[in-house]
Amino acid sequence: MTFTSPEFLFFSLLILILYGVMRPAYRWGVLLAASLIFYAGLGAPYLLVALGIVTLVSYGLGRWFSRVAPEKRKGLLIVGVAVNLSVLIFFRYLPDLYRWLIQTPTPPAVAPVLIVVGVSFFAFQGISYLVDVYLEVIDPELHLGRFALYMAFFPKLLQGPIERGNDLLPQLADLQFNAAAASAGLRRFMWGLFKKLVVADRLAVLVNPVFATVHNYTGLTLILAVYLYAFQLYFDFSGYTDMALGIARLFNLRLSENFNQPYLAHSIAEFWRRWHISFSRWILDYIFRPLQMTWRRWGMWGIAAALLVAFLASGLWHGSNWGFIIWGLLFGIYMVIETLYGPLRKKIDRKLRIEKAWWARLWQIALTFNLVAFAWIFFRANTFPDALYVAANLFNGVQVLDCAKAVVKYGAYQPILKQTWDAGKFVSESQTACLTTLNNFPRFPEKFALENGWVLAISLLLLAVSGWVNRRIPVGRWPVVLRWLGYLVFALWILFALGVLETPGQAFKEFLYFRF
Amino acid sequence: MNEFLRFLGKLALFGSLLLLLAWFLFFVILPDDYSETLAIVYQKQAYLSKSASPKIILLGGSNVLLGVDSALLEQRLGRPVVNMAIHARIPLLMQMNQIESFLASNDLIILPLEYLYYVYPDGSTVVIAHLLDIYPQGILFLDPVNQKALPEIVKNIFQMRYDRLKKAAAVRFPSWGELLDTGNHLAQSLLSQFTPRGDFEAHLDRAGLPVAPQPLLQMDQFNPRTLQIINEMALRAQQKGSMTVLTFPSARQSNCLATQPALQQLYQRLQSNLQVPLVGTPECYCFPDEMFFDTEYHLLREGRRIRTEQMAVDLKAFIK
Repeated sequence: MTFTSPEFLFFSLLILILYGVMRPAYRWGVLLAASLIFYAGLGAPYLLVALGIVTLVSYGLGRWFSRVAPEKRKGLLIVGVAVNLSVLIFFRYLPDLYRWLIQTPTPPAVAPVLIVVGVSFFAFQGISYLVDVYLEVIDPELHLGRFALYMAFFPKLLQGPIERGNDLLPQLADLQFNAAAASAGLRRFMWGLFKKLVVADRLAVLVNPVFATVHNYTGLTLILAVYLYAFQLYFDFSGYTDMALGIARLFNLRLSENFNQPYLAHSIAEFWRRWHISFSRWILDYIFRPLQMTWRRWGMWGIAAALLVAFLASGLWHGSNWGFIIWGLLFGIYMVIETLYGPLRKKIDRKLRIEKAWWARLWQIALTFNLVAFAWIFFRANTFPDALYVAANLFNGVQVLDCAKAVVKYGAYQPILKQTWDAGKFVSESQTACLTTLNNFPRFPEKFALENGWVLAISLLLLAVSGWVNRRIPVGRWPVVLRWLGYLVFALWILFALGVLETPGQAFKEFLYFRF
Repeated sequence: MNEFLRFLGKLALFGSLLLLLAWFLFFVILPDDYSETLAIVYQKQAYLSKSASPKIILLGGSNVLLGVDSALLEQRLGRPVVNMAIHARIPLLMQMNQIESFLASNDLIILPLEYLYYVYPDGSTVVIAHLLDIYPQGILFLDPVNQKALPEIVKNIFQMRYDRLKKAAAVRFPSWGELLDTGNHLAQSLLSQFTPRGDFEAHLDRAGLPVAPQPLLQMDQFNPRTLQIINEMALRAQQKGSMTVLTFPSARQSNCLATQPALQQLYQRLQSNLQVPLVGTPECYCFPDEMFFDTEYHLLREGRRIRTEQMAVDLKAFIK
């Protein structure tokens, strides 16, 4: 059962009804039972064992902190962190470690452990709770049921956000129902459904075939696939987050925002303040800052080292293969360069008075996006050699140059310098030079190719326009008739988009971050 | 609580409006497809409901639809015969669900099953979607396996209706009378291709088409679930006082020869595991290739006659 399955809609409705009719003091029980049923429904009972261990150890040690002498608390913290990490390592990395040591495929006995969805998230959440209690940022939660709910709350259980104790625990102490919040939650949920099912899954139809057989492609085709993947990943993951936050709001609970228009970031540092925010905050607070403090006597080099370690850990959290390690290191290198070069760049910008120039900011956004997209190659490629192939062949062949030459010659050089403008020639020459290389780019299946093209185009337009509209007149304040008409049309649009998408297999019905 | 109930009310209202709008767009304003021969199911159902017991009901796929002369069989056996077969990818249990309420004491269900049923007893969601698109009440007869596949079936129906909506957009909408008519869904010209008992006859005098002599069945693909389903059907029929027998489809001689070892293994397996009588052997229903129209199973007029006579002889022992 996932957020996008029909059973989940009925399940959520049932839980909502039980939640609504239950006395407020016992609502935690309804949500906890629902969360455990939801997790058990994945068909991997050992995951409940993992969750149980992390929950009980984190709860017990959290309470124990207040009863022991300060000098002994550090030892308890180490034990707690070690248990959480052990659970994470055992479930996430044991199969990979076995394969690496023995150099054979995972034997059947170990294979079931491959279903590990959620472990990475709640193990990190357990660690953050223990550290926060140790540092006395929060008081330990005394109510075991509420703590268990904090760990297992089903909207965030599988793919986060990684919630801090001081954000979620106080809300669980007073569970109310609020119709306005529930309506907002439903809107958010539908929006997430749209991003995932209509946009992300449609982009996957175009992207997956390229990454499945990268050696069949070069040049512009690879560039396009990489760019499309960047957006597929964003819409998939942020769509999930919207659904998670929307479901939580049904129960009047606010989970942390996890995305904030990340591809509009002006720098890598800013990107990580906008992408998978709960995870990057965790890395920042529990890995980078402690290391930075420890190595502060090394000055900038200490910061650089801390950044590399932090991002390496980030890569390893996603997986133990070389692709993720390189992905993490790449971002670490980006951040080191940015940190070391940053003060100089700001100085240059100030001297040239281009700090606030629109084209300078556009350039920063474009550069940041391209650096991130490049890193995504290592994140997405099926194998490390595939990633290397893609990276090495992005500009392979003359197609890219031909395309650029045609666009510049007929779109800029002739109009501006020769003062001749031939729109037809611009279109035909550009098309010949650029699009012929994309002839083997995957297409939507023939049956609904036109519809899928339009669905994707209109949906992307809707996404672009929606933020602008919502900032001026939030949907919740529209006249009721217009609002309901909008909801109905939107829901029908989602159903229509689902109907014309011929999904080849189940592979991308799952959320991309389920693997972590 | 009042706030919560109001919210639930609004949610229910939204859901209802959405379903209503979807139903209006895809079922009300969309004209029926009068060229879909699966729509013969309405006539078959109507004939079944009017047939008196004890009667004979034929289930299965197109080898029965095109290859049995129900009127002749009726004449030979002295019982009303209803040909309920339509397509070999309609699940067996779905066909059983469809006829069960019409079963009575001493009725006889005959299963001349295509060999495909021994591999895919649960049918095809695409064919089911085709059927339900024309015959929505068929959803009541869905078997448990295909109930789980309902979202996929609904999606297939949606896609078919969407295709028709696109075509119909260029055509004047039919009158309200035709829109509301849920009786006959088959064009008059196509209706004449079927007999009242449900046999298809438009092909009987046409020239035969060659078919490659490929095996009809490979035993490594045999699905034992088929045996469970047939036994279940027999038990349910028995509870109504009816009997079920299994026989074999008409098949081209060349295909039979290519399948010889598998057919023998199948027969032995059926003998050992089935709780229903076997009527005839696979070889009894293998006929010369020139007696066939198309596919491995569809008989021409003379072939159909010979096959029906053979069935009558084989079934005589089961008529009380």
